[in-house]
Amino acid sequence: MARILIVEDNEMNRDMLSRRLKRKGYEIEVAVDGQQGVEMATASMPDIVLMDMSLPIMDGWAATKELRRNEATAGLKIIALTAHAMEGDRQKAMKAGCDDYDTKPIDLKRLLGKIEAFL
Amino acid sequence: MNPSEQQTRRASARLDLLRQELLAPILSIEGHSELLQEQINDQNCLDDLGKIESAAAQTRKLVDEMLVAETQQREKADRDEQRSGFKHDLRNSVGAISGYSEIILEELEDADQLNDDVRTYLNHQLTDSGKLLQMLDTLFKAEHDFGEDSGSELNVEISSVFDSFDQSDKETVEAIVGNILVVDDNDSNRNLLAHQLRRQGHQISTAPSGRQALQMIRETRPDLILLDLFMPDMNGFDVLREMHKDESLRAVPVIIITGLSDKNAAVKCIEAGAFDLLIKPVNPSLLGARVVACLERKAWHDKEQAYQQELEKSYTFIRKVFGRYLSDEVVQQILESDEGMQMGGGKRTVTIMMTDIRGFSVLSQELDPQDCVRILNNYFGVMTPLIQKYDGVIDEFLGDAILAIFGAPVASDIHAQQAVACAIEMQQAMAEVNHNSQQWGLPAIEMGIAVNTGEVVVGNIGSETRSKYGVVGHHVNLTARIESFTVGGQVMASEYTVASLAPEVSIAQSLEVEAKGIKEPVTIHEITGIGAPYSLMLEDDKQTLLPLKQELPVSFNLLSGKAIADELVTGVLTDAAEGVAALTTNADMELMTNLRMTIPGYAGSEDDQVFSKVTEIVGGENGQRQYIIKLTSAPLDAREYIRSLIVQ
Repeated sequence: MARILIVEDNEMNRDMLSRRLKRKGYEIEVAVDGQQGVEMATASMPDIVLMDMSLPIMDGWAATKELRRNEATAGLKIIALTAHAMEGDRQKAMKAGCDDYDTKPIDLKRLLGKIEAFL
Repeated sequence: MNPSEQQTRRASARLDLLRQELLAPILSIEGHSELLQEQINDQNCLDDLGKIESAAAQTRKLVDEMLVAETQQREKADRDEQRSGFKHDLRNSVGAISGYSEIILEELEDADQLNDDVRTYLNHQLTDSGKLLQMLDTLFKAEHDFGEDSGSELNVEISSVFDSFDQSDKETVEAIVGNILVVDDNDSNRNLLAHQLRRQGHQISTAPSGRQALQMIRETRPDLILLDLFMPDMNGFDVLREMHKDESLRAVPVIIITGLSDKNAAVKCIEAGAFDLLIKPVNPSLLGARVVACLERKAWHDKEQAYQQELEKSYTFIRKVFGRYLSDEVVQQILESDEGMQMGGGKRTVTIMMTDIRGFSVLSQELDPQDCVRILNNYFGVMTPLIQKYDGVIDEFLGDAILAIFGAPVASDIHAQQAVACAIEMQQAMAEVNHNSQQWGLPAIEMGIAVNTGEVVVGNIGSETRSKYGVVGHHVNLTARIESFTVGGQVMASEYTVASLAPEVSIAQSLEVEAKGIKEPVTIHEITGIGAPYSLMLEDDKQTLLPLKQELPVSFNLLSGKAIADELVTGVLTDAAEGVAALTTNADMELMTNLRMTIPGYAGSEDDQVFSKVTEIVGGENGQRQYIIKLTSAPLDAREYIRSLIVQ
């Protein structure tokens, strides 16, 4: 089964997303900040990374850039998540190296469509 | 208020209303969470529900903080960054509400524990959180101030109300000021309130205790009282209750001012009669407005009171004009009628009633003055309520006579039948009058009643100092004339009255009379009964005449009106009963002819005059005619003498 790494600092969002994806049969790992996200992604090489953009210690853009810089993790599929939902967010995320982009609050159906597209 | 102040005020109003808009779905989410709490048993789902609740609380807190931030002046860049932060946090917290609601739905569905209520409530959570999210999105698109974008759903329409406020600021309102009593045991509170209210132009007196306040209220009757609740000697609530007990103090408005924010206290005070309750510290502008509102209300109340007094004055006036013989109903009708007090003269068709006690002048000479008054008061006492019962107005008591009017001052379509029915019931009531007299050992009396209908002038007649509602005209004179034809126990009505009657009447006899001012002779009828709806009938009072031991020779004059014919006629009484006799004479007399007679044979008889009236023409032979006469006025001695001659 596909493995997904959720990098999310908001506890409730992390809880909801991981539980709902688990129910769909995914194997879930979670990281609570950008730095931990980079470390865990490098260590476990998940199929997909769901990356929140506003994160403590290292934000989502920086973490994505870091993963792309590293040869081993450069090919990871990264979907950016943001609660700001501003016009510039999407471009900023794609420019940082994300493969796709979705907004919070999560519309599970829509997100699942995006996940499955990469698998 | 300068333009920038106005702008600030409007901006803050806009945010207040925006807050209400945003709060509505949050309150709905909180409400549905409570309902779900009762329906869900699964512990995991309950935990998730707890997360929805805390997310809702977080959302509410964020909305408040955001709107407070909006009131502050910031650089645009700072403002945008701040808004972006709120947007992020709000989307997360609202997202938690919808997310966990979906999770609960999924989990209960999988466990097959989803009942209809829970599904409905959870769908409400999703709808409300969706609505809230949409509102926030709209809001965050704002280029300038929140809620100001025209065309957006969240453009709060505040200008119409504020334009009206501004308009009312421009209007000069007459300042309402009054005498206000400030009651508070705390010196600084009392002085502050007094100072604030004096500045608004009110007259202020103060009291430092409940007892002193009550005394001052009784003495000075302030327009308004500001009352503290907690005072050492007598608390404010007890002052309020004392005031409520006193009819005259109940109208003085009281505003309670207290530091006690207990809801029950407010309810108690308002129940005990307080106009309002303000919690300390009181905003001076708000206090000013409440005080003015209260004084305005009081002024209206006073005006109403004055109007009431005016009405009572009118009532008293009507009572004075009509005497005390007008029923309350009639007074009420006069007060309520459009014509009201305009009682200047007017032509009106009415029915006039005149009554008279037969032979009362003679009786009054023989009786003690006290007994005479006793008989009259008894008589009037019985008759007055009867006349009122039939909507008659007693215009005058003239000695032993009553003049009553039916159909004025309050118009009636049935005044003729009311008067006739009244007259018959009055005759019936004579039994009661005489029963009373008998108990006191006083002689019985008899009454004749005349009733006539016609156009008369009615109105306030008299001088300025002494005026009374009265009636004048030929028909009044005619009534008096008809009255002179009646004997005791009779009701005589003119043809005009009888023509206006709807109910059937029984007529014992009819005759023609002439009266001053009336061209044609008038037919008058003796009425002995009236049909439905009154159904009143006089008892047949024809008494059986018994022969006298010996024929009693009498001599008499015929009376025409008040004139007495010189010619002395003779005749004999052959039979008699109480107050009635059979007279044989060669004089040719018409029915209702009045006679002044001398009956010789008892001590002092030569000085006595017996008045009688022809009530029946029996017939006659050989030039002699027999009549039945009724003694209308006879001294007691004469009656006694005739009685002694009857063969028992």
